[in-house]
Amino acid sequence: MERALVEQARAGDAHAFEELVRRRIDTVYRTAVGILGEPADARDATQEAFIAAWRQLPSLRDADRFDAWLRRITVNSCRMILRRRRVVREIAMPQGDGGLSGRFLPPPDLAAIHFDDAFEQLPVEQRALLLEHHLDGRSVAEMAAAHGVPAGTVKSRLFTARRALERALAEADR
Amino acid sequence: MSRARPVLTEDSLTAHLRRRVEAQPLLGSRREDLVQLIVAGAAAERATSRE
Repeated sequence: MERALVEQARAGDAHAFEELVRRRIDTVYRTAVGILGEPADARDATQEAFIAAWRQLPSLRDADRFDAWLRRITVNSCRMILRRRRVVREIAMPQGDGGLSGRFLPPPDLAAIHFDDAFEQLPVEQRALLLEHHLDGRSVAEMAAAHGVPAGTVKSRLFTARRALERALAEADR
Repeated sequence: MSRARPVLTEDSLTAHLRRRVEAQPLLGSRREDLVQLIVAGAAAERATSRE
């Protein structure tokens, strides 16, 4: 049923695409908010990811890989949002803002802020990998199948991402 | 004396990531607006590609 929906959307059926959007929008938003940490940015990334998916659907070869494919598009949209956000901040705040941008409320707790700051130093791909494995609970084997790479590659990438996060945490701790 | 590295266990990493995501609001009442924006964007893409 799901496969049929993807195939219909791929063939240009707008109603099928809308149904896919309804079924996947919460998952895409959750991934984006995990990567970006800001709801407004995550909504923009979600919107852009689905529009890009619609544009690129004809190039999706295997309808069964729709979810992994959509996740890659989402990660890419997050990367683009971050790139634009950096440019906007550089233009808007050339003197720096003391690290207060986007954080108008008092911090919920210092450990959380500390972790988020370190996490946001990681490249988008590493954030997405850690979220996929440690938050969404996907196994290494599932991720390997979804990404189309050997399990050892996923393990190595996860290890690298985790070490990078630990380094960022240690750095912030100094 | 060097500082000890922060310990990041499986559990603490998962807890931090869960907190990071769950600290943000769900789409809630904005969900339908966002669906409509996406559908409109896709329609605009179709119109552009037909031109």
